[in-house]
Amino acid sequence: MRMNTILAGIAMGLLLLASSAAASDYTLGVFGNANEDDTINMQDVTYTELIILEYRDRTELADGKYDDKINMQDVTQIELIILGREKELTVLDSADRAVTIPKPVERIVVLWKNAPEEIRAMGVIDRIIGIDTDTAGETGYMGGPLFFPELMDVPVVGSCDDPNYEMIIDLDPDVVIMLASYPPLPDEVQEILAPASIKVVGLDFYRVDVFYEELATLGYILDTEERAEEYINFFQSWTDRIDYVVEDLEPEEKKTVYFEQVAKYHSYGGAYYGCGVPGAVRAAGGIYIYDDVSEYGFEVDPEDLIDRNPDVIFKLANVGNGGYTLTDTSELKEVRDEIINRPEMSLITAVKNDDVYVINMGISGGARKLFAPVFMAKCLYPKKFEDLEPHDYLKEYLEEWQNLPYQGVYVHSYPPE
Amino acid sequence: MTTNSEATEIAEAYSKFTFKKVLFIITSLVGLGAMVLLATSMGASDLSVYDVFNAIIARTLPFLGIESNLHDEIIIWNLRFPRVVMGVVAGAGLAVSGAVMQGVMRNPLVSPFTIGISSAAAFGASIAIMFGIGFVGSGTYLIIINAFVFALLCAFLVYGIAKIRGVTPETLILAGIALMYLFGALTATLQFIATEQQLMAVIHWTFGTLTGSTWNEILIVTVLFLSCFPFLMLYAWDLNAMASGEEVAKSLGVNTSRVRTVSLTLATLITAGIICFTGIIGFVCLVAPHITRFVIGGDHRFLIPCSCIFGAILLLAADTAGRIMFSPVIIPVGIVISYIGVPLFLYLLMKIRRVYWV
Repeated sequence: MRMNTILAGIAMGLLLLASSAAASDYTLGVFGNANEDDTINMQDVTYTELIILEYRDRTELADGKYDDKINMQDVTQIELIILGREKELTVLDSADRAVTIPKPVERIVVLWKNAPEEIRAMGVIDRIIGIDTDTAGETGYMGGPLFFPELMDVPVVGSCDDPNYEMIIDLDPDVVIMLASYPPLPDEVQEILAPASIKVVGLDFYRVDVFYEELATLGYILDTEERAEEYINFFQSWTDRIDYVVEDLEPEEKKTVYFEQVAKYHSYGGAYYGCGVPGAVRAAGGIYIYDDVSEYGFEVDPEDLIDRNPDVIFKLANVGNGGYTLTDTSELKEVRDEIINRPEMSLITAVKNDDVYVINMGISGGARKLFAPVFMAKCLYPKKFEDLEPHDYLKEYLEEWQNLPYQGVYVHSYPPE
Repeated sequence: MTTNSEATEIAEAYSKFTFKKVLFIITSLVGLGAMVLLATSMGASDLSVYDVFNAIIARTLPFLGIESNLHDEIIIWNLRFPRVVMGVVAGAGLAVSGAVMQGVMRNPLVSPFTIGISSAAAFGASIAIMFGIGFVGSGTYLIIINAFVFALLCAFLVYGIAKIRGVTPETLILAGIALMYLFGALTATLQFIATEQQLMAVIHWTFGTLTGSTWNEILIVTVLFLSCFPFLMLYAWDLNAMASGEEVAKSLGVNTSRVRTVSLTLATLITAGIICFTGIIGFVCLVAPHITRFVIGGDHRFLIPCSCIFGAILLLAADTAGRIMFSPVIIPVGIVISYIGVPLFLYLLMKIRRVYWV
């Protein structure tokens, strides 16, 4: 009884502190994050104690042990997570699945090329012991190394669509990291690998809205929480620079944007999150003209495009390994010329004002989605972003976080006038 | 006396029958004209019939001094008209190819796609999309040329294989189906290793669309179609004879092997010429000749031109519906045509009691 009173006293004292921490940009999807902020720290210990004492409502992530009970074992688990000495960790992946992973995670199989890029940023790419065919395709180029020279000798375990389960079981990884919503789904893969006690986590690393959550979760899985936090801060330092300006834009200042896929007159719908392109345009301060369309990708009626009359056109290209192996703008110029030379395009403001930009996959696809808003913002509002040089952003990313030399051509025509 | 009277009656009945068919052709042509007008006047851009009329007259009859604005003219002359004209030519071409192939093979299930042309074209396009220079400029032409070359290559392979065993319908169909599966597997292999973007481009190509049709493309397709069509018409009598059976045709002096080889080559040429620009629009080849056959019978002198007209109407209707239904999203014509063609086909199949295939 006396113990309870003391605990309650301490808890009440920390109540204010615990409450204030709840207002963060994203929620870390790890069980033990009792106050559902972006990290696990002593506030979560306090918060869980308050739940036990019924001073606080139970939260989903408070159940650190993931046994459907909130008790002192959860408090102990949270303390172990803080100390980095937990035996198991339960995370909520992007397929909304709770997965309990044995710790430490030393052996990883990846089934999509976004994950190894982020694992390298965490400084532990050497823990990858199996890769999919897409990742394997980017280890080398024309005999030389490309994006993943570290993975050139790592075994290939099939494609993301059709993994070779026998090979995966033979490799005996602690965890398989794969896409969350692309078939086969994580649950299906997990069912097959469950008898071998291999855990499967679905993390996309291409959706702007959950990117930071996924990175933070990855940090906890790999015991690189601090590195993940620095990495997120790096991205935020750049996106904050455009956010401040974009927030102050008057509605009439905002430019309308048409984003065309690699295929002619094909765009992305923006009613749902989809591929992330509409979100990137919005983040850059643009008004996405197909926000009302729910299809992921669709064929655009050119007549309708003329009626919507976008101020700016971004055209996606996928040339020169996303731009990394390009040395000049000739191929991107060819793509741009094709658009501006379509006779009907002469009616569109973007073409009349020469506001047509070709964006290569290397700054807009997959794990590079976070770069697109910054490059787009520069193209949309060049005067407001005179001091912003997105190429420095990419340079820092490649050199500091990916251990790759900075090279390539990613956008054309550029810089905007 | 009685014999003469019977002969006169037969001649009159035949004239009446022929007159009905000619009337059907004229009615269909009027229907096609109406469909062209409808397709040209409908679209996402809010143009009135008056605007459309002005835009057409301003360019075709400039001496009349009728004024139109640049916006309307571009919409009509660069977007709608090329689409409509390509729809007409492609529909006509694909339907005539189907009609001829079904006649030559004496098989209702045959179309240019049965002998593997579409699979081969898709494989050719996939190679260009995946390993080509790019997706636009030279890349676009690479896709077109690849699709065309592979479609022809497949057809020649089929004929070559059939030649060894004798150019009979059975050998052609079996060799065609075998190659269709082979090219299908090759395309699937490429899709298996394709990136997300490449896969999307390949799939879009296989849907078939009239978007992006240009006057140059239309010129090529039209010249190809008009060059082959008269020769196919010349074989109409021979095809009629072959419909009664191989032996009957031979006894009437028809060189069945030559007719088969030449007409199949021409039909392949037309199909390859069309689908290399539009992507795979398959169903019209199969359904347009059958629907026409239901209505006017199996006389190839009428079947071939009528199939052309009906194929054009069907493709144009499907494309217009695909443009209008979920605007601004365009549903590819290769998909819509089945939704329109199948109910019509099934209705006629149930309604018409005549049997053309035994």
